Amino acid sequence: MKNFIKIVIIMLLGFIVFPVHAANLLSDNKQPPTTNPAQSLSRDAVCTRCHDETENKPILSIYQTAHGNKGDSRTPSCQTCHGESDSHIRGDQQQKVRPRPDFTFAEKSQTYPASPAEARSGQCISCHENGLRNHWAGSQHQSQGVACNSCHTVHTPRDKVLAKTTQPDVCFTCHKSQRAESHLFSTHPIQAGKTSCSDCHNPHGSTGPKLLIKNSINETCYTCHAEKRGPFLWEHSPVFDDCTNCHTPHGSNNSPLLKTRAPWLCQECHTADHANTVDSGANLIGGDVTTINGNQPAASLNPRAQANGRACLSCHSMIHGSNHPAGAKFNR
Amino acid sequence: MIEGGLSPPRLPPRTERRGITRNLMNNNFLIVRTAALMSCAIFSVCTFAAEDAAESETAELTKPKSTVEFGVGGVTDSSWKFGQYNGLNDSGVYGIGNFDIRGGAAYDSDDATRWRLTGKDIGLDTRNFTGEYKDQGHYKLNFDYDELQVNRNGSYLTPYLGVGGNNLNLPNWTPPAANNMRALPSTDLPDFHTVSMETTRKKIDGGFSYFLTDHWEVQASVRHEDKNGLQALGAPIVAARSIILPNPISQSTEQINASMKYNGEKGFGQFAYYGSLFHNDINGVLFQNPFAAGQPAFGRMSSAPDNQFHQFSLTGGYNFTTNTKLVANGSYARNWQTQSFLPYNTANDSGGFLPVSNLNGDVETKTANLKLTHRVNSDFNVASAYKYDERENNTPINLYNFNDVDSVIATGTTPTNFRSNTPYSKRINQGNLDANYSFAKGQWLKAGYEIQNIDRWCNGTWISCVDTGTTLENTGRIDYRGSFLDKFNGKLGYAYSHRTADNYNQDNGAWASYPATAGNMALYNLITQSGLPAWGAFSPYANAPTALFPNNNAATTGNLANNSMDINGLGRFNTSNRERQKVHSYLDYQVNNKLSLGVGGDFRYDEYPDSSFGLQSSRNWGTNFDTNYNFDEDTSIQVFYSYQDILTNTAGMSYGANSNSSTASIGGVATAATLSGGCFSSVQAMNNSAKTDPCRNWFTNMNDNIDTVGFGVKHKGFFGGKLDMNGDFVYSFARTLIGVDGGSYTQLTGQPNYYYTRAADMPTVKTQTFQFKLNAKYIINKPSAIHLSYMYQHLFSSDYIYTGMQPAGTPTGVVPTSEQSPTYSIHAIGLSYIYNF
Repeated sequence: MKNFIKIVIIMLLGFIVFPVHAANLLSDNKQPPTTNPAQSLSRDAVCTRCHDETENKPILSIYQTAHGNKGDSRTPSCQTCHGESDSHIRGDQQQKVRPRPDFTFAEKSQTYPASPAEARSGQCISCHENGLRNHWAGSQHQSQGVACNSCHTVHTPRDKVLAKTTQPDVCFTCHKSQRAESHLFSTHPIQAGKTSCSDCHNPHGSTGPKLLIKNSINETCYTCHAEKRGPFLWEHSPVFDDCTNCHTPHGSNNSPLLKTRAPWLCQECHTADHANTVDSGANLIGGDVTTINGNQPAASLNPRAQANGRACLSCHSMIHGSNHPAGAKFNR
Repeated sequence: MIEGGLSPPRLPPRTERRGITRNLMNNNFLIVRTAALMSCAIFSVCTFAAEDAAESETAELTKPKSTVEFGVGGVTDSSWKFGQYNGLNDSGVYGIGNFDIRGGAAYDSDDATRWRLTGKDIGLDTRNFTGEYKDQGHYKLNFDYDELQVNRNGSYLTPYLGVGGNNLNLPNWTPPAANNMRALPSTDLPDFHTVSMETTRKKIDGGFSYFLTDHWEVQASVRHEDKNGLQALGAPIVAARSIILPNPISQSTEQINASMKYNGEKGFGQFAYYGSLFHNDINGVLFQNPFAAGQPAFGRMSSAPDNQFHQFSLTGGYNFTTNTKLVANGSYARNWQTQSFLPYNTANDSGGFLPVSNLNGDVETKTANLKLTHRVNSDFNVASAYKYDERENNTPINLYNFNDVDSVIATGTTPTNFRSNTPYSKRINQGNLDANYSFAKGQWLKAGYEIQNIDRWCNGTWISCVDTGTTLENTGRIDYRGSFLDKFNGKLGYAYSHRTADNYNQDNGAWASYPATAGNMALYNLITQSGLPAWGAFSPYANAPTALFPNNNAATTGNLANNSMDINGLGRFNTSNRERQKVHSYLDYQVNNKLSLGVGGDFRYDEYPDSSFGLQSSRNWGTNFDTNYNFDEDTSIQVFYSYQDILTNTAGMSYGANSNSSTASIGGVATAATLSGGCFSSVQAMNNSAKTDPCRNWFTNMNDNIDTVGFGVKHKGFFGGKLDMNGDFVYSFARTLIGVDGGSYTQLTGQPNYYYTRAADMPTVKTQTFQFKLNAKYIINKPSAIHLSYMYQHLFSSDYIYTGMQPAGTPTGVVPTSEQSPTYSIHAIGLSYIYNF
């Protein structure tokens, strides 16, 4: 293992050191910018002579964003995204409004209906295919007609979906069950703005289920809960199998984020020994009392440990796995 | 490039690009424009003033904005639950501090440098700072610091001293009589003191990205995260006795990401490394036994062991044509855990020995993904995908010999438990095929098929360690998605899945953990060949050998005693045969450019047709209704309602040992004793059929009903554009209803000797939340504003589980913690000054 760690360290150093040297070596050979700020702005001016600060929607504020940073030779001009739109620029005297630009994005526009989602996303993907968008093609969102601008607003310097505190509101526009679940008793800190959807999901597509950022549900959970990764001496089979066998991540009335509550959650899989017992309100102080003669013996008004307080977890608390040599029953 | 240091041309002057020029082709407008120009010619100062104003306005729009906000806020009451994640758990005054400062070169400069510093909630324990500096297109540096305090319990009391450390002792403590915590001596009660159960996470990130060329980029980042505090942990000791400990948490995690990316005309590639190194400062917590004096004096709980995970991945995509794309991804990861074991026992080594000093845990994870998408034409596209995901646990198997919960073993005696570890492995092979077809403009039909094969196993166990070695699931789905009449958008989808499990045996896991002795092997063979349940014979099974199954009851051989095997017919929901149906739908109606309506519904039903016990079925359905009304650009309201219904049905049986012996009494009760209720007329008859008594069958249905209502309104521009306001109201009401059918026999003194007590439903668990938020921003002048925020939040919760945490109500075997179901009504207000520049 030590050798492996050395390899990892060397590779990491390589990741850092190599680019610096490589950059120096390659700097002379770097390709010249395809456009300079003046050229790019000249192309923009074709549009901004009409679409200016008087627009209701933000147009010129794009210059505050990465898409308006003309010092970067890759920065697009208006036409890069909206197309050359010759007919729109020329206008048509026979029409009350100008012909639509080649690519239009506003999904609720009455004047110019949005281009098809595939076309809109295509304009973005032509530059942004790499990185987080590696798996966009064929992903759930792509195949359901979601376009990049269904979530992103390009012209504004504060894109709601890129800020942790406002991102959930964007996602909840469609994912309404999750919106409701985020207000339940047991949740991740979504409403508090400390956990955002993209902490776990990559909406652009991924190799994991449910658009998760990692290859599997468990790998994703371990990014914050690495203590549950193990491997443990005593593994609990449904835990390594899938965290969502027991947990529901967006919110629950059963703490901590449980799909159902103990002991019944445990009894969905366990019937041996003391897990076979019926747990009932008949034994509970304040619970319903129904016996054959209408009386519950006072001595029996004793909440059963397995069905009260922390229930099964009062004893089997190392339920995610134990590394204690006497912890085979997850009680050490 | 403009020479001589001149700036490149900025946006064309306003006179050339006024918004009104968009109607250039409109002849009427030409007249208006000419008139305007003539007017300005007459009043030439008009032109200069207009241009100056326009330039200023343009600069205002194009220059990155910075904001600083500071002020004070207050909270009326303390509540751990209200402040669970937001840092406002204590009443009193808080500082408000937020900033977002941006800078760098102008948009039209040759210099692409930009930077940004942000701070959020800097006066709270949830503070966050970020920084970013980039020469766009060349490199980027960034850092992030974040704190999160999580309050985990309120009103938690413990008698232990030394809280925060890993050695918990009791003060002058008198154990309760008969180990009954409901009869805790009053002299012990003053020893209970409040402990704040909370953990704090502090994480710091740093990273960079660098473009080697236009096509190659390298990225790396490191995150260090500390987690400290206290968390409740159940700690059993003696038989069926437990304490909820204030378990100390002191952990750290390092996460490293590094990648090299290539982006080309026809494709892309990425080589990446991800490392996660978890370290725990605490390997266990030693605690004094609060129950009856005697053995053991102390118990010890273990803690999560240090572990490491290192993963390399390679991803590539190639566009054969603009319509055909292939994306492939593979990864290889190793996960180690070599934390030294704790001793078996606090008093001695259980008379046994540790077979190894640490687990030497080793897990390999290998994944491969392949996805091919092809767009046949604008109306038809297909996608196929293959997924391989294997977690192979190569941890060595050893036999561990111990007594439960630190029970002391007399010298020379043998511990009662012999168990081998069962390192679980899993392999997923999955294939998908989807086709999307547009049969009319805006109308899409999607059909999909998925096949998923999952293998589960353990390397090195003497028999299979899993209920089933292989599950196979086939899923078919069909979706309609479309828009019509330019006002409606909708979707309706249905999916059906069928999962089968090979050679299901619910006891494999338990068997595999027992030592491969000749006795266990013989017993296993006998049971698997005869079909006998491990807990003994009953109709329709033939009598079991009395040598192994006394009186046809559970085997007493070694570890198989105490009914340690599950009931025949138990199906564990994650691996057993399953039928699943899912429906998803929504319909959005854009009534006009002001009003929109939306309604949606989801339904999922899982059924486990071959499971007689365990989870029988689950159903989850919900519906949502949303509406938005935009009065104008500045005023809008939003209303939503959601309802969710989650139901699970579980079956079990409180079987007992058959007592078909001729002894005169059973459990101290004469065989002739009378029985009131139940399925038999006498105690003898009841005992004779303890494995088949239908009155011992039980059935539970747990039903979560959740209503959520939201209302939001916002308006900009009160008082001549000076005041912006928005308000949000959310009401959530969740009920958990637990219905229980069945019953149990209760032995009493007096007549009759036995009662059959019918099961009763559990008290309904309720959580009701009101939340109202109001924000008002008053603009003093262009750069300055006053921000007033107000929040009222009310929580009512009622949960029977807290009954079992009180000194008089706790189960006999659990030390009370006095935790209460949280309820609060809290006002929070903040007043701050905002400066924009």
